[in-house]
Amino acid sequence: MLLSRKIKETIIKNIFFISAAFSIFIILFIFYFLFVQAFPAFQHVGFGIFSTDWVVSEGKYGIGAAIYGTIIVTLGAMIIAIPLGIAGAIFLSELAPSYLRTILKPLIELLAGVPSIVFGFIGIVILVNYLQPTFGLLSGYTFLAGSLILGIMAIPIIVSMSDDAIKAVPRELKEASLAVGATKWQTIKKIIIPTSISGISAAVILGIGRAVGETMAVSLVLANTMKIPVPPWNIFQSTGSTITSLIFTHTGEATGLATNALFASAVILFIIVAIMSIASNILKEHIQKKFKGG
Amino acid sequence: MRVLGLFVSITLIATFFSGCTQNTAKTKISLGGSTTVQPIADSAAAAFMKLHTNITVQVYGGGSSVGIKGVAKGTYDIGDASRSAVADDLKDISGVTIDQLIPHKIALDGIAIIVSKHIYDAGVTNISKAQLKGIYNHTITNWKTLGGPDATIFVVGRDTSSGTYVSFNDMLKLNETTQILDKSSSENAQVKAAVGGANNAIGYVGLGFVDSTTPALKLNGILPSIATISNNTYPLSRSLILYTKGEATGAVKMFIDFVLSPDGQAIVEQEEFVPLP
Repeated sequence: MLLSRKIKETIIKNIFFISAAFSIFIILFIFYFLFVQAFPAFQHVGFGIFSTDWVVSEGKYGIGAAIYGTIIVTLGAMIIAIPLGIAGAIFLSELAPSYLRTILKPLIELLAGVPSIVFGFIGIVILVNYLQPTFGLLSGYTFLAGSLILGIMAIPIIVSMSDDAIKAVPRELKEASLAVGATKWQTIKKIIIPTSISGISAAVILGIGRAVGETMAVSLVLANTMKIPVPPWNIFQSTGSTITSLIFTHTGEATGLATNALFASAVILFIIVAIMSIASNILKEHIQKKFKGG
Repeated sequence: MRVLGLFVSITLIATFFSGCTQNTAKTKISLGGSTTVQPIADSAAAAFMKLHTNITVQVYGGGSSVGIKGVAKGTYDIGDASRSAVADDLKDISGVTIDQLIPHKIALDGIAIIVSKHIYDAGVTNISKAQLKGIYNHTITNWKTLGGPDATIFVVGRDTSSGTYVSFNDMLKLNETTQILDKSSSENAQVKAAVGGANNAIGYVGLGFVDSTTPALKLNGILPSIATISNNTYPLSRSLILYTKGEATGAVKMFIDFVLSPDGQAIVEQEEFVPLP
């Protein structure tokens, strides 16, 4: 009897081990494949990969314009998503009556689950055609459109995670603040936000992560040309792409070294996202330590 | 565990049903490549499988390069392309030379120049090859030059890896470095959406994508049509090609012969491409 239980334990343990090993194996496989495929491009163009010369017919594969596009579109998205997201989270966790909260929270989480192609479709059919006449632009396919779409997509992540962080603020802290006569706004400003700031930061970084890695929606509303606008901060100009949109638009038909160059851009994107994911984890650990200590 | 159970039962059900339909051994042929050729390939495969119930034809997309590489590697029996194969396509594939790939021309395609309806209605209905080149090189930037309204031209093209981009540049002798696009799209449908959604745009698509929302311009006075493309008077025409590794044999040959037969060419026409003359 005892033996059979032991055997059962071992079998179950091994099944779980294989499942865990499987996902690790896949990530290692992706690593390996990405770097092997990217290597010829790095070898061919070297640091030229960071230049802004993308001329496939001449073997120039500089993805500087796409890296720049990723940065500016993400910045734009964050300018939209961070204030709206944090304000939304504060309203949801501190100010909303409980009936409103029970309706709003699932709805916001539902928004996070809307497939990106749906955002992209709305972007291409409505947003792009609205921006063009509204701002008197050459076309609506701009960094502005990309930032708006990505900002909207990042909001639910920031709201939902910041809400969790604010909810984790110990009740006694809030009550103590209110008991000494602070107003609701003073409590939010002086107690709740400072206490939950690492959780909010982790939420923001994850939101940025989504914006950086988002492909479908952003490819549909950007111009996807490999050029930096003039002047560079001109988000109203119909030009520019991100790393993801570059990979997405070219993958189907790229040949030879151009394919390797796409893998090289994937490696760069991978590194950016990995750094952000690690930063978010560090912040999360930080918040946990803080609450254990105090 | 429930997920595993579900997976097992789906597999079992699928096996059961495939067992029902595949009681005789079927010959399978696969073709893949150019998304331009795909509509013809899909319809031709469906019609062909009705005629020959013992043969299954699987059609994949991916682009001309994917088709050419696929047939060279042996992934596909037939690789379809909207351009000719070049030696660079086979760079990563050892043991296959370009002469081993046999082209079978199956249809013609014209690249139509489309503009926003607003521009067409304002009187721009014809463009010369030189003007077109000027627009894509940004030496012409206002519709006024072409007798249209005073509006900046919104120039739409295809992504630099696309077969249509390469064909368009080759046919117009456009240089990649001097060319400036305001929007580059990876699909015909995206070009059409960008041009149709704007009121100041020009773009280029396969003949099948022209309709009244994105009217086609005459090029050097010639409207792209099945007639003008098949008699080669329209300046921007190209061939759609099925590639096989070595001479086609067996089911593959039967399929290619079917596409070239009157029935197959009727499908080409029905998919709004131009049948071989």
